[in-house]
Order: sequence, then structure tokens, then C-alpha cells
Amino acid sequence: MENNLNDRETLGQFVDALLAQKYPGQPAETYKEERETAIKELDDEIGVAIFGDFTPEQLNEAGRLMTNPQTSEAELKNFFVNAGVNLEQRTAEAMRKFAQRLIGGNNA
Amino acid sequence: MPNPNSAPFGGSIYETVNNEKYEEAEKDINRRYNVEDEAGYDDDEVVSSFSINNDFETGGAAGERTRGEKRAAGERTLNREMINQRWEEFKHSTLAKVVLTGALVTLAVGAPILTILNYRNKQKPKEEPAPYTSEAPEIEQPEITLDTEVEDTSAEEEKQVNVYTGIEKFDETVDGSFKQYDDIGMNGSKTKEEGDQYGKVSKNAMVATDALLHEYMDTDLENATVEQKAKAMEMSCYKQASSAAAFLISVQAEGFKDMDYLRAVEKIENASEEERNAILGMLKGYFDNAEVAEETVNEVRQTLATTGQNSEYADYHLYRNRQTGEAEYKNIKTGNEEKVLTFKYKESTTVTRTTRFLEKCGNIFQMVEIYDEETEETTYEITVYKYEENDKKDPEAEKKNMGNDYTDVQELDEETTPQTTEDQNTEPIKNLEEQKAQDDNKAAEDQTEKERQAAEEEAARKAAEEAERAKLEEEQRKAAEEAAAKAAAEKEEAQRKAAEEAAARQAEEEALRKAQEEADRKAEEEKAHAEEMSINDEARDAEDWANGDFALPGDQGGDGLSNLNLNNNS
Repeated sequence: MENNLNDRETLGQFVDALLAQKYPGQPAETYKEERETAIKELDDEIGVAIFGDFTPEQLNEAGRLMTNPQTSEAELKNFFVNAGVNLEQRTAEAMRKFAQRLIGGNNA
Repeated sequence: MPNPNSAPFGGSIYETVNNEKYEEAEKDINRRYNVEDEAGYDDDEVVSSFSINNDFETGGAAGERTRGEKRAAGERTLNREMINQRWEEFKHSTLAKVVLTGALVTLAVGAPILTILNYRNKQKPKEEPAPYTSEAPEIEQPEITLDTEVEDTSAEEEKQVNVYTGIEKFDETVDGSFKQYDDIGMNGSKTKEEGDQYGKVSKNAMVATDALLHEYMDTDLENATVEQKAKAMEMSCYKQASSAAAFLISVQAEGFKDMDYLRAVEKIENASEEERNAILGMLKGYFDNAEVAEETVNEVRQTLATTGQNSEYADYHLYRNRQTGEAEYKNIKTGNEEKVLTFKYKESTTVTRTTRFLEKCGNIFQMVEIYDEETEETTYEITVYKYEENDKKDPEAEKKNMGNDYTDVQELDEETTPQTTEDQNTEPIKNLEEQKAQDDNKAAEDQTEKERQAAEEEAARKAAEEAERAKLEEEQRKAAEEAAAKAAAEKEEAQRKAAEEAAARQAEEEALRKAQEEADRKAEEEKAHAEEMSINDEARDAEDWANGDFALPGDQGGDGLSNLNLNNNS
């Protein structure tokens, strides 16, 4: 994740917004560590949400596609579509669950 | 799309390792399970002593489970390594960026969770932070040691004077559209003070735009004009701080670097078919979730109605103003609970937009127009008052009693404190006549305002027409001049050509005439010569005849008759 600043910033902003809700009025420094951990955890959970249901064969195929410089984005997208994985939906669901858990179960 | 010059999905790093790892993992599974199965083990057999380092789904390896379950868990563990690898690879792709963006947008539309959570948290103050739990054992559980006492800052807020200039901040970050949104809602790169303020604005903007976005839900994007699409894009950016940022990332990915309204229009107009489809596809997501959003918006509105957070809406305009840089904004907490907000504008369009918005949202406010003779500038000051409980019971009555005061004051005395609508609203209405008078007064004021606006619009329309007419006349005049000049040039050219042709024709005729004269002269000379020759011949013949030469004229001598001597008698 560290190699992909855009994604990290995006997740960081999402987490920031959640933490600001969780700790209203508190300076960001007080939950700095939690922020970093949360970003990593969110990142991890999104990964699991997307690839978690894949069989080893599918994972292998995904790896083959992603490591092949000739693979187009459309091909990669088709792979997920054929695998029955709605990328955006799964990612959103992972983030929603994460947000619920981070802020508090009764609130969401 | 993969970049052939680099490792597009981190492939160069992981490719070999992954393949080797997977092969090893597969062999390991076969060795540990398949072989045993072939040896006759039953997958349903409970094997409590057989522990596997399980992973995310089952939460640990403890407990009695069947061999089959443990086998599946073991596979998942091994798969997990691959999952992590795949995810690491996938994160580097453009597709991942789009996915993340789409997810945020979906999240924002389907359930504006931040907004709702914020409201509910307000209603039920936390006594202690929610315990942080994770189901992922690989990640070390953070130990939360936060101060559980939430500091009561309400009293402090009452005295707080927040002055948002906004414009300078906007200019500082105008180099990147992402930062434009970043600086209104994200704390990360800001100081605490800035972060708090911008976070607050962002939160408020979220709520306000939730409501606004709802207005666009009825728009059919497929058949929308370019401007409508751009507006929808703009609205989507306001929707939530997170989704705004996400949307921008997406937009940037599509090559739309700047996301203010006008530039969005331009970008869409110039976008390729593929880019348009990508943008519209994302936008359509909003509309597909319209029902959910409507519920949410209604809830937010109720929240605002019960908590009197008019500033939530007002702050939206701060954001707009920061974008346009047209207005100066001040959010003043005066310490007077009744007076929530005062903000000043120098641009009448913004004022109109603001007052309409405030009115639509059921706010009580007063707008004062102040003209400064020295600077010849007009400032519009809008003061928003707290929403009283009594004002909400009957929406119709509320509307009647609200009496939003559009006071058009020329050269307002600084010491003059305009009568607030709050005063009007809190004073009990003594009798029906008074109420009627108040209603009439309000209606008259409304009518005056409408007439004033209509007059302004008419004047603007006429000015525009006049300008258009003048422009048209100028164009016509220029066209006529050009046409005349062209005709004159053409005429001159024609004359010149005609003269040339005439001269050429004359020269030709002269040459012909001269040639004819020469021919005539020569013919005459030849004729004269021939006559002269004829006379000479006759004279010679006569002489010949006289001499007995009887050769006929023309006889060159030597032939028959010329040798005949008719006078020879011998």
C-alpha cells in the first residue's frame, strides 16, 4: 500500500473522516497510531473482500494476468466479472463494515 | 492499462516468487491432506488435536473441528498468502483506483454513513470509545488508550469567532484539484486548527449537499445536457468529503484534472466516448440509489430541524464561495444563541442563491443590502437565526410567521440594528389583525423583492439585447463595407481587363489594316507593272508588224506563225 500513494491517501482520508466522527473535538495526534493501524487493516480487509473467495486456481490466474505487462485493464476487469466478483460492491461493503466497526456498532 | 516500461501490477517483484510459493503451497496441501485422504482418512472425522494456523474467517484454530474443516482452513491459510500477494499486485493497477473510487461513491450514495453516524453520535454522546476489534489476526491489535472524557467545548464554541477567508486557501492549493477538496475536509496535511475548521466545513457541506443532491435525483442523466451532467458531477463532489476526494481521483484517472463546474463542462464536451461513458457510469450509480439517498436526506433534514443547525446549510455556500472566490465569508459565533450565522457577500448572484437555499431549508434569516458611498460597493449581509421550537410545529404557520426580512437599506447606519426576524417570531401575535398586517407586510415585501428582481432581470435582459443588437449592427456594417470593397475591386479589375482587351483588339485591327494596305499596295503595283508591260508589248508588236514580223502578240518567236512572212511574193 505504501507504494501506492493515491490509494493510501484515499483510504487515509476515509479513515480520517471516521476517526473524526469517533473522537469529535480531539486532535488527530491523539489517535495517530490508531489511524495508521486502521488504514492497514482497511487495506487488508478490502484485499480479502476482493480475493477472499477465489480458488487457488483463480488466484493463480489473477496473478498471471496482473504480472503480465500485456494484460489490458479490460482483460483484468473481465476476469473479475467472469469470476462473479463485483469489485466496487465488495470494496464498498468491506469499507462499510469497517466503518461500522470503527465507529460503533449501534451507530450504523 | 499496463505500462510496458514498468511493472504495472508489481509483476516484476512478485511474479517469480508467487509462482514458486503457489507451487510449494499446492504440494504442501497435497502432501498433508490429499495423500491422507487417499489413505482413507475421513473428512468428517473430528480431529481436535490437529491444529492449523487458521486465518481471517474462523478467527483462530482452537476448538474441535472436522478434518474437512481443518483442511479447508489450511487451504485458506495458504490461499491467504496468495490473496495478500494478489491484492498487493492489484493495488498498483488503474483498475484498483477506479474500484476504490467507485466503492467510495457507492458507499456515499447507498449510506452516507458519516453523516448519519455523526448525527447519532451527537444524540448519544460516547462515554468511552468503542473497543477496536479486528477479525484479522495478522494485524496486531492496537491498544486504544484514548482519553474517554470528551471535552465539552460548547461554551467555548459560543465565543468562538471563526473567520473563513477561504479564498487565500483556495489559491494556495489551486494547482491540484484534489487538494481543493482535500483542504476543505481532510485533516491529515493540515494543522490542528485548520483541520478542525476544514473538517467542520466539510461535514457541514456533506449534509447540505446530501439535500441538494436529492434535487438532481430526478434528472435523467442519459438524456441530460452537458451542463446537467457537469452539474451532477459537481454535486457528486460535494456529496461527502470522502466521496468528493474519491470522485476526483476517478475523474483524474479519466483525465479530468480540474473539477469546478465550468471546467467540467469543457472537459465533458471534449471527452472521448470512452471517457464519457466512464463518467456517466459512475454518475448513474447515484441515480440508481436514489431511494436510499432520499431516506437519508430526509433523516438529515429532520436532524437539522431538531437541532437547529442552520449553519450546516450555510456552510455549503462557504464552499461555493471558496471555489468561485467571489465572496467574503464570515462565520461568526456571537455568543448570542439566537444569532447563528452572519455572512457577507459582495456578489448579488451568490446572495440570491443563498437566500433561496436558506428559505428552502426553512431557515429564519435576514438579508440586508448595504451600499457604501465611498467605495460604491454593495455588501449583502445575511444573518441566520436559530430555529425555534415553536416555529416548527406547523410548517405553514411557520412559513407565515417566519417573515424572512429582505431589507433593502441604502446607506445603512452602522449603529442601526435591523430588527431581527427572531424578534418578529418570538413576539406573540396579539390578535388576528396584527397577524394579518404582518402577513400583508410580508407579502408586500415579497412582492417588492420580486418586482425588484424582475426589474433587475429585465434591465439585464435589455442590456444584453442592446449589446447583441449593437454587435449585430456592427457585424452587418462590416459585412456591407467588405462587400462594397469587394465589388469595387471586382469592378476595377473588370474595367482593367476590358481596357486591356480593347487595346489588344485595337492593335490587332491596326495590324490587320496595315497588312491589308500593304497587300493592296503591292497588288496595285503589280497591276501597274502588268499594264506597263502590256503597253510595251503592244508597241513592240506594232513595230514588228510594221517591219513585217507578223508574229502574234505573245508569240515568243520560234513557233509556227512567228516565222510566217505574209509579204514574201517570191
